[in-house]
Amino acid sequence: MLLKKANLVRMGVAAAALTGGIAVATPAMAEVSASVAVANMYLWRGIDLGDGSAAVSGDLVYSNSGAYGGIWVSSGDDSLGNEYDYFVGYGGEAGDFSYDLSLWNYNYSDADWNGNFNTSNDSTGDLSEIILTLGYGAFSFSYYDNVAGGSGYEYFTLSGTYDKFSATVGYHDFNADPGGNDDMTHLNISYAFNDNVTFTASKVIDQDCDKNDAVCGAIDEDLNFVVSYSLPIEM
Amino acid sequence: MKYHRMFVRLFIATFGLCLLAANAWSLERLHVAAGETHTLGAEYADWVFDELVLDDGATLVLDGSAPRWSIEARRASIGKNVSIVGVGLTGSAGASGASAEGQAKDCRRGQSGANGTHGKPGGDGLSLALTLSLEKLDSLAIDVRGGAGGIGGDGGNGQAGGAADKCPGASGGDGGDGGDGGDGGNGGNVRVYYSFLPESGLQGGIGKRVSTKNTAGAGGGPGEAGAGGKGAPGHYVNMRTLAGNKKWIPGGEEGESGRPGKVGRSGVKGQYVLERDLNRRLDELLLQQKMAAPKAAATQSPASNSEDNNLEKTLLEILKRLDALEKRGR
Repeated sequence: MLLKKANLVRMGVAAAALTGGIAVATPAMAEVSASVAVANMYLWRGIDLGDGSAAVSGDLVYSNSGAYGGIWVSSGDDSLGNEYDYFVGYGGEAGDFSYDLSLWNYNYSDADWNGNFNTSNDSTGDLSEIILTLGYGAFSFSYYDNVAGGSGYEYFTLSGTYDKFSATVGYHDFNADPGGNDDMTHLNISYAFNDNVTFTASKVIDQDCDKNDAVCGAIDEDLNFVVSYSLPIEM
Repeated sequence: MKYHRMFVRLFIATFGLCLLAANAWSLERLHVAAGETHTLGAEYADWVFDELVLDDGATLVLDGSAPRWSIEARRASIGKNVSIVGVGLTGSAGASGASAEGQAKDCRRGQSGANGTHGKPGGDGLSLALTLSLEKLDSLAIDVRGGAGGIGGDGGNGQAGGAADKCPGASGGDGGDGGDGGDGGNGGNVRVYYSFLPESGLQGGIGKRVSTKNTAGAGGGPGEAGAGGKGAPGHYVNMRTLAGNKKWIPGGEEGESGRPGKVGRSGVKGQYVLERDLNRRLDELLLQQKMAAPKAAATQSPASNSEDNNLEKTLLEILKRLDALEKRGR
């Protein structure tokens, strides 16, 4: 049981790779963009994956007429090491409505874990996720479903933005074994101080386990503050 | 019947001749009634009128298509508040540059606004040489001011930068430059030669009765600079980050404003000369002298002819001095 709860957490760690999804307007021409970022922690869907360690990330995206693809790289988390994710997708909008569908594939430098996900060192295609996002105006809904490297995990978000503020409510459905932490809900609120610096506060607001029940696989409910610095790279 | 036709032909011919005669008369005599305005066409730009009558408040407008005018009136009668106008036209304003409307395509920098065009220069005031044998002169105002330069066109505004999720917001387009103002026209040169007809009873200078406006036209005002287009606003997109799945995409910078145009240069003030027509005055005196003593002149010896010549020279010198004194008095 403990193993299963630990697996649940690790599943969450592995699913760190499942973050993402890009809702895009349909660009009219080919563009290549890149950026690098540093943050005081690696906050994945309301969970601190780095145990307080700072993290570095970077992305390179090619887009053309709504289709896009790229790579997202991060210093990763404590369990799986460095992470690099490939993604492709297509997005667009019609009036105030927007849509996006993308496929993400996640890879880790130290993936020697033999848990529920069938991951292996530096392989591709072992852990993949499809993300569907639908939006209307400043609001969007996203659905995440892992389609390879595991099954049963789903994640849902409802987001809204206003000027430099954004708020996201995320819901994890871990599909845990009985007695495990089956679901968790968190709230993220971000504020873009300027074009580079963003502050984010994140709080677990509900979970299946009692917050002190380590056996159940409870997730730390402490309030997390993240400050990140992102720098677009001119091509 | 035959006589009837002849009569009709004779009548038509006579009528035509009368018309021609009337036309010829109208070319040599110009009368502008009190308070009325008459425009002289360019064909009169170098003309001698037998008689020029401008009643009180009359205005004589000179057609601007002829830049230089030389009008002589062998008999001029000018009433009160009479005007002769030959001002330069105001230059037309430059066209404003077209603004780049709306927002550029995704990720693209906004297009720049077009530059305004320069204002056209103002027209020069007409140059006028007026030779008048005055029968009557109350007050005459000559207005040959240069036209103001046209205002420069405003620069167009820049287009807003295009926004997109995968690229930083694009910058706005630059504003267009304002056009320069047109140069002001030069004031017209005015030269008035005058003499008095014997029956006029006029004497002395006429400087206080003739006024001239021949100032230069002011330079046209500059066109305003076009405003830079707004940069694409920063915004959140759904994209993976170290802090969640919301990434802030920076906005683009606002485009630079164009440069305002320059003020046009002012023209040059015209010159004004008012002087007595000494030759004509001399001719008049001689004519009077000959009319007064025709018999004596017929019996004059060569010696007395020489005296006459000396007398003419002396008279001319006296007139020149008188004229100089009059100018000093003005």
